[in-house]
Amino acid sequence: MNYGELNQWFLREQQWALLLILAAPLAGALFSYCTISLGPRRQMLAGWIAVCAAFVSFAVSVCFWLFLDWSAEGGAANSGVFLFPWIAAGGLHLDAALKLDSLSLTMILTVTGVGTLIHLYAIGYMAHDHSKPRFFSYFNLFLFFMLLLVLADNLGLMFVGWEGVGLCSYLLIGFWHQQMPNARAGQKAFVVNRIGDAGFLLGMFLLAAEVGSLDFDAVQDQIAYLNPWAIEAACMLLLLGAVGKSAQIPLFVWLPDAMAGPTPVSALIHAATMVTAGVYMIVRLSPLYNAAPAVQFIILALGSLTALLAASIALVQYDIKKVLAYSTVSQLGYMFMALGAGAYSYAMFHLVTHAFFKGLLFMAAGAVITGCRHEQDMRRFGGLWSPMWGTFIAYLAGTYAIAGLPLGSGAYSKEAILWAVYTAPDTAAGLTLFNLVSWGGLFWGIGLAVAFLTACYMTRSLVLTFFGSYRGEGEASESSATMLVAMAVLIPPAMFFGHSRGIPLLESLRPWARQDLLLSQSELMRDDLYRALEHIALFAAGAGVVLMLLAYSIGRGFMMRLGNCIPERINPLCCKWWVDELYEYLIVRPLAFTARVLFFAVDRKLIDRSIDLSAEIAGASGQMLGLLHTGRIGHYLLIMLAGLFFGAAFWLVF
Amino acid sequence: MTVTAFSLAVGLVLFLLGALGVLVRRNVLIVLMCLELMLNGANLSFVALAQAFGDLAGQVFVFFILAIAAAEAAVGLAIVLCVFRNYRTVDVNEAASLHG
Amino acid sequence: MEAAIVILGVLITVCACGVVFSRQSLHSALWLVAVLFLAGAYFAVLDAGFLAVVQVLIYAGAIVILMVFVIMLLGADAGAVKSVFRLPAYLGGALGGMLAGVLIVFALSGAKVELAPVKGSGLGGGTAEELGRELFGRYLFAFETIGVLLFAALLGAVILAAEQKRPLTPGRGLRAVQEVRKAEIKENVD
Repeated sequence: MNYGELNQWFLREQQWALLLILAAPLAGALFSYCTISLGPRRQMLAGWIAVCAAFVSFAVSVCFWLFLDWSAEGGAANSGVFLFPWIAAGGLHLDAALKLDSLSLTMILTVTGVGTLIHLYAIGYMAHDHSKPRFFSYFNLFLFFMLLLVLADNLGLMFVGWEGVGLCSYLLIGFWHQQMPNARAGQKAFVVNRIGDAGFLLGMFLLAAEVGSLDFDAVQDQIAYLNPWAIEAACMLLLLGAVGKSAQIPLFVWLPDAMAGPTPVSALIHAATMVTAGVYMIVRLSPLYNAAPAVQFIILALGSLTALLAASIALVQYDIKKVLAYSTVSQLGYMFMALGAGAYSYAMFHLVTHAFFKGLLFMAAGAVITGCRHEQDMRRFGGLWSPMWGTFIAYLAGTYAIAGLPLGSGAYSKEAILWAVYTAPDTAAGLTLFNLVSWGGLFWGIGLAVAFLTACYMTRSLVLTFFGSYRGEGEASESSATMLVAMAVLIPPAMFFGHSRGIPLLESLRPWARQDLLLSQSELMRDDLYRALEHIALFAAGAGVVLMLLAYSIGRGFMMRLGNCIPERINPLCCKWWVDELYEYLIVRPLAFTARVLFFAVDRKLIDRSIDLSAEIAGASGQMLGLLHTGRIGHYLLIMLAGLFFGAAFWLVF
Repeated sequence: MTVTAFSLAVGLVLFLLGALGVLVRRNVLIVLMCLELMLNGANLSFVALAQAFGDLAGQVFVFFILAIAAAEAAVGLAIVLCVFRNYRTVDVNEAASLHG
Repeated sequence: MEAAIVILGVLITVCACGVVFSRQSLHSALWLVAVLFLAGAYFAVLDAGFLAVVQVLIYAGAIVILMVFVIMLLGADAGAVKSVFRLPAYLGGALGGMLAGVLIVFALSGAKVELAPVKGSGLGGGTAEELGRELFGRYLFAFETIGVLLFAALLGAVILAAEQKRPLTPGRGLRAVQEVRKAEIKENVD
């Protein structure tokens, strides 16, 4: 069979292929759990089953990418499959149907590609864990729900995937639930996400009421006829869902705690894929958001604030995974900035590059952690480049990419976003700040500061971990082969994916771009403003790197004094800007108080008492009726005779 | 008053005396005997009516009742033995574990 | 015939009163024997010769003897009472009286139905032969069934009355389970 025939055959069978993408991880989840009946040594099979399942999904996704024509202008290829009518209630019809277009293709390629590698990595990472079947089953289940979320062709089905990934996230954060902090972290993630999900649900209801359908296509067609306020409200509510899932202000507090899970979980779910679901959802509904300028402005503001806040916190963290977690929040802030600026394709671009380099960074961090006997404190690392040079190269590449240094993938996506923010139309009714700076300029400034901070904290973590002298105990050792292979495969895309500016990707995402955005390399290069901004951003990143290198080599004493001059207790960075404490006093405590009042006043006194009372009434009446049962045969006979007598009398009389 | 009517009256008296005994006596053995009295009252009526109508079916029924009475007496007396073994009494009111 | 019946009827009633109102169960049993003998005689008068014999043989001969045995077994004075009547007894008597009234009303209203005896009926004295033809003819099935009933009653009486010498022991299935458990425990210890 030559290539052409293969192509034809695939096109004919593409519906089955689309189903296979979903079915493979689901089957993998079931089968890998079945290995629980095997002996502890053979349970490693679970990992390989999971990897194979993820790889099948990835391979089929690649086939879709190769065999379908994605470059066609306007009528880009798309594929869909109708499974079954799902909900038919009144005027609302929801189908379980899948939809593959360039946007979801981008997502599934990223999810399955990075996912396969992290599955492979997890085999090495979890080698000594005792519940491998459970882990890999959850992992594959997560992949299934994520793909369902991405491939859904209406909001309802997307919500199924949305909740499913939330569930898997909860299960995996609390994977080592024998320790209380891990279980609590899982609960926190779950509860915080529920707040966002409530917004998602309400937004969905509003759309269903206004549009009468939840199909993305139907929503898009109806936008012109909708009440602008309804659009704003629906967008705002859905944004709440996205903010919860993608860890933005005010719901970002769960993500740093989610690092309690195993590192592959952090890499796959809390860095590369699941947290981007909010971004994906907004891109998917971009026509709606384009019609809601106020919400767009809010997204822009939230994104930039989150990016700045998280980056500033990341600067002082000592836990290597916490640094990466805050970094993730910060990078997601970038994506939200792009969304707010209407540059949906740039958001997707950054999403993909971020998945690559943050996945890589987390894998490297996990390798360091296992290499140092599950130590996570960077103060106990140092000089690790020689015992684990493979991991060092991976971490270096990831840092290079995320810091936005020249030619790294992060540089391209980040600069594109900064440019888009700078040129963003003044969304909030042409407001300018003191008539001096446009809002776009302000947010660009924040973005630039974040770029600088990103370079700073990543360089800091790199230096603390790999340079200097080893400060931990015992010997540090390199990780297993599967982990190194997974990292090695991910290095090239993390480094070089941006070179082509993901051209095919960005081109195919043109329907999701602002009209005035420039997409191809040549277009951008010809734009003077873009080049100027690019140079400024590169300079900021470089300055951050150089500053930190200097600070931690010759200025070590100065850094120590700087750290000591503000006690940690009142340092806003070390205290994470007191956000957790604020929520504790503002929400958690009052809620707990109300719950306690309700428990004692209503539940105990009213509900429990009434139930007890009914039981007591039944018991007392039983006691009283029981007196009739004397246990004496004579009495029974007497009653029987009386019955006989009255029966006979009745019969005689009537 | 015909022979049949008189015999039925005697049967009725036997039955009622038996029923009264079952009601008022507390000795379980006497209760059993009173049951036999009630059965005999019924038997007497059957035989009287068989004679009145010239039909042997009545006598056949009496025969069966005899057999059932024998069975009842055997099982009943066995139960009395069991009760006595457990309660050390033949008073039906003492063996009243089922009272409410 | 009428005279014999009247005498027998009065005697039966008196003896039945003896059964009900005796203080000692043994006296009751003796009165019962008298009732049964008299009833047998009554049967004979009413053209039921075979039944009369059976009545004496089975009732007076077997059942009452059985009762007397039980009375002796439990102690002759086990159930002796000082007073037969107590408050519920009056209540029972009243109810019994009411029932009697109802039954009498029944009997009187039934008298309206033709109750006149057929003189010189075709019973022919109710001999064993006559009764046997009926029993092994029309009533064969019922006869066999009553045999099964008697057998079941026999078994039941034996099981109920038999003294249980030893407590119930586990059967073969339970024993096997216990052995497996013992083996497991032993393995764990090893």
